[in-house]
Amino acid sequence: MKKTIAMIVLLCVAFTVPGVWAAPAKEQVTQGELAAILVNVLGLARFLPAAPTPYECAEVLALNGIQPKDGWNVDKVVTKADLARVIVLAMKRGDEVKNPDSDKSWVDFLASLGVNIDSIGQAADSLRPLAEPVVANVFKGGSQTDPLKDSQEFGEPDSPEFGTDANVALTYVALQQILQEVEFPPVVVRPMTPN
Amino acid sequence: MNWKTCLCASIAVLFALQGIVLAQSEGRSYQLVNRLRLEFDDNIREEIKGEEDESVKVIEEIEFIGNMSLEQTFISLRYKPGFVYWFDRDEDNEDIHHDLDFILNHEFTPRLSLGVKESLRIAELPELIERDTTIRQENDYTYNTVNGTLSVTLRPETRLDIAGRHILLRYDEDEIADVQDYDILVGGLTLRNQFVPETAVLAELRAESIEYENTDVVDRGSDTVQVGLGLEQMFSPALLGSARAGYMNKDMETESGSESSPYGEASLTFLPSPATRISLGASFALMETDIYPYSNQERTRFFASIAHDVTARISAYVSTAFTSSDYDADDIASGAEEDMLLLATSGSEDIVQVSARLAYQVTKSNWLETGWQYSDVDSELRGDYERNRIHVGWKVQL
Repeated sequence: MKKTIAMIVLLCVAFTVPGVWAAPAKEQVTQGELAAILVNVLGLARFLPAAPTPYECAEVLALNGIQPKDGWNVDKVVTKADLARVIVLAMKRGDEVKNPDSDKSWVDFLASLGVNIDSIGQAADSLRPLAEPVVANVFKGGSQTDPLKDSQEFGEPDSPEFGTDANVALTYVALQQILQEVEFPPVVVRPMTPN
Repeated sequence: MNWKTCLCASIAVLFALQGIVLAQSEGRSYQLVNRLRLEFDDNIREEIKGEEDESVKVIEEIEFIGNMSLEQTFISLRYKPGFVYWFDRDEDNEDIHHDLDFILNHEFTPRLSLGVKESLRIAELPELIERDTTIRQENDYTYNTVNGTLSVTLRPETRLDIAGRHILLRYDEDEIADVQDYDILVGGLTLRNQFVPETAVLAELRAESIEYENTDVVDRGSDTVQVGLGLEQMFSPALLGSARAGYMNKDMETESGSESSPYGEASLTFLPSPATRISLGASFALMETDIYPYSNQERTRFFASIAHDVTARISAYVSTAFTSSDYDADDIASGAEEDMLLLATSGSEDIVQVSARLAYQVTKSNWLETGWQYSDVDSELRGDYERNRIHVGWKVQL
């Protein structure tokens, strides 16, 4: 059985890899791709499979209260307003935005924190982690029927609680990494492209 | 590989990666969190009613997370050593645990990426093992799982995942190791098609091989194949759901020889307000078990959890799960009855778990917390028990 499994995996790799090396580069960043970046940076990736689907990334972010105005749409191209909103929410400072219905308010709030998203790469070293994102779906992990996936809190001795994990937070440097992934046009709301 | 080797290897990896990260002038991110808790435990050995021992304990954990983002690569390393001091435990007063997680994501091209995830747990007197379903203290152990997935984007809306996984469990004591140590090897193919932005359908094939270390007398190993479909659906910004279902066949060294069964799981995530997140779900499958000498269990599980931000600084979390496992006499590994002079019996085991936690963010970097955990095991195959744990704690982000 072991050999069979190994052979299947190797054969699949051998047949699929040659056809994809010449793939064209992507020109835009989708919300699904942004969700994958956020999951990594926020330290949520360890609660997900090795190559999570866009849905799985969006779900774990939504469970932490982080999503664009109209929810996650994995195929939709990310706008500056979408990014500003999810970054502020990831910092757990959404309640400080004066007019949450206005896209501009989210962008302005980020700017008020010293995050100049028109000039990516500028550092604001004084910013510190601001929030305590929480994973509340550990029991779902324990209910997996897929042997490729794992329960999230298996074997952690003296696990403080079944349902939560509070030891992930967003650092400013991590935030900066997200911002460096994209280039921002001067217009407030429009699709953006990678570097 | 013993635990010392694993620990040394982990520390070496930790330092090596730290060096790599330090060498990068940009794109580095560290986090250090210290968590100190005082906990009361009313059944430290998970004994039956009337034989419980209780103790207060101090739990000190320090967690290091390092992330490194390069142009096409993301690397994350998390190491959390934990120290537990028991005020009232006869055998010894201290436990030391180690948790290590390593994640590597690399994008070869926009259409081809690799994800690797490694988790290592080294623990003394563990509580939760075996895929989060067993709440039974066995012995010191080493648990390691490594998962690799190669993702190929065949068309913009279609992705093929080729995945493999290895799981290792090793107990320190020979007596326990003889019946519980195992290696699990899993291979899988997943074809995912995003029909519309809200809906994705998955076709899945899984093959799993479980081999126990000691098969001299009793072999509880099995080979399992799963074939099925999955669905991921975003009903609205406030409601997300996923499901997978199919058919599985498990070959075992038992009287029955093999068993076939449908399997399935479904979950819903509901966001009634920005401050409230609710998860619900259920699953059913044939699984391996730590109850010797059974080779199989039929496990049904329901869970629910709610997270609510009471204020911007106060968050409350409640989770509960119910697990019901059925064991068939036909699934006892061949040779066990003669070896253990057993009468073949069928039976069931029900487990209820509840957790509640309240966290208060005192300052930007400091949290106070309190929590309660409850476990209730009702088993026809081994001892019943109840256990309560209550803690207060302080967490600081350094």
